[in-house]
Amino acid sequence: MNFKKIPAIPSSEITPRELYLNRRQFMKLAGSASAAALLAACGVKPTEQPEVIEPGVTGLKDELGDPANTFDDITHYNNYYEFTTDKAGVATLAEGFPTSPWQVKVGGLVQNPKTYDIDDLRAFPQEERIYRLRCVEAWSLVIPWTGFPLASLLAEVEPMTSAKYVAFTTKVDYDNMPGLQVPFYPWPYTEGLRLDEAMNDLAILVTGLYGEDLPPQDGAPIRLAVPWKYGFKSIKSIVNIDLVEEKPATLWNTVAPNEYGFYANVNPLVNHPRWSQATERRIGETKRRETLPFNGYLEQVQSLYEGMSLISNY
Amino acid sequence: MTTEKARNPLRTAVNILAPMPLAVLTWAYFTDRLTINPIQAATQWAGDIAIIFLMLCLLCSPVNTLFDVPKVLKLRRPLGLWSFYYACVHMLSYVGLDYGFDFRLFNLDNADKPYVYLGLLTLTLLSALAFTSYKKWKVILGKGWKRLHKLVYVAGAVAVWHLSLVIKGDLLSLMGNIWKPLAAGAVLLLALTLRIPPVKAWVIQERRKIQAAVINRRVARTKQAAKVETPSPAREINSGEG
Repeated sequence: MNFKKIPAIPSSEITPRELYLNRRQFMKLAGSASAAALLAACGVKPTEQPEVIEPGVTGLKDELGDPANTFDDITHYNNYYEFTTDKAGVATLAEGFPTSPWQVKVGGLVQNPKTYDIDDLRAFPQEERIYRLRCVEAWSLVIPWTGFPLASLLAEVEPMTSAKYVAFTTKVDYDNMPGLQVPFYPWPYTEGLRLDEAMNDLAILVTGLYGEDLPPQDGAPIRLAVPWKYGFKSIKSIVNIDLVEEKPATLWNTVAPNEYGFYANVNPLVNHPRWSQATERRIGETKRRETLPFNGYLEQVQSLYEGMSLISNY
Repeated sequence: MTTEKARNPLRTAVNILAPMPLAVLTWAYFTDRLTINPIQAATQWAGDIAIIFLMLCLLCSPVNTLFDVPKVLKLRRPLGLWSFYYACVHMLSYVGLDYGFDFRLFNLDNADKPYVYLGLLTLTLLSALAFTSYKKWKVILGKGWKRLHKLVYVAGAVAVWHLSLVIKGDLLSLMGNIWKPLAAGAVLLLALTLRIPPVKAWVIQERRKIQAAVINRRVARTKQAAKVETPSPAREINSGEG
């Protein structure tokens, strides 16, 4: 199984934009079409006949053969509590979120600390990766990200031998992130990886989606994607990357430590005080599917956890 | 009984308004307006509404204690029943729509989740209360009926506990997406506190003092008004006679 298979042509070129119209838009079109038919039946002439497009056909598939979700699905169902806890409401609230200028400060235990402008990061050789995203809330998406391996960034700053973990921080922008007013969270959003996890080729920094710049609700201008872990590990809108010696505090682990572990590897077998994660709903499907160990990336990541209990290190 | 029922417009209002959320939910579901994950949204929505009705039901008696509006007590049965109906929709949406009654998948996910058992316990309690909510059962069970129906407080507490386990966060440490169980918990606490006999007696006593003061003031004002205004009607009468 060659998981790193990358399409020779980027999706933006093989998928005409209008094809990733989603089901909802399709429904709206279908709805307005039937409304138009109704109006026509009543003798009212509709001004415009909308063109109905087959929904969600992009031809993109992940390495397991499952089709990518539509652009609209991916961009209109997000957990991004800095904006709102309503997954369908993030897109509207995040519209116009200022992502330029944007700098990412990479520092801590490194030989060459450096502050990158977002354009410097876009200058890293970008590749398309079609990844599954498995949310801890038991839904999942297949997403064609554009980005580059975190390892190439880390190689540039040269971690010191004392560096054991990588800590990430999301931007705090009180003027543009209304969710920050909610008192029940230890803002800013923080996440972390063990250094060897961060160096794994699957871990990427994402700058784009469907061949276009990342929209704000998905974590523009730059976010992490660690597909073998639950979605909350893939931190959005990063402003700081620090190499540290001790395991860093992470937001969800601070909020509810018994529920959200530091590792948060997708694991259908962990019997947890509150959650077991045996099945999931792939968005767009009616039947649940069984969740795969490490979200289907077992081969690529299992060596990271050899000899480690995945039950106590959830 | 039927005439008595017809005389309470509040109850009619409840029974007209209560099915509305279900209508909206059904409409939103079938017109694809419930996000791209509609089953989860529908389940959560129905559950939220069940808890809202349960909390409203529990608030009836404290509202009467505080404001002396006994008509409100007549709403306990319809509100409790609507809570039960929405709890059924919630459960059916989870087991039926979400898992398609596939109990192998359901057990894989849920066998070790405490919140599923707490939800089931709430539903069992509510169905026992709904089943015995008929007048016939009141007669059969006698004094036991009242005692049995105090279980609604247990159902309320278990429901809030259930809710606090399905959200992302921790109610005890006040962190995470906890506003819903927090709000429901506050209502529950208020309802329970106002049921404690000494608290209830004190509240009623204070309320009666205020009521008495209001009545006294009104009487005084009427007397005063009568004193000032007495001559004029007398004159009018006189003039009318003349």
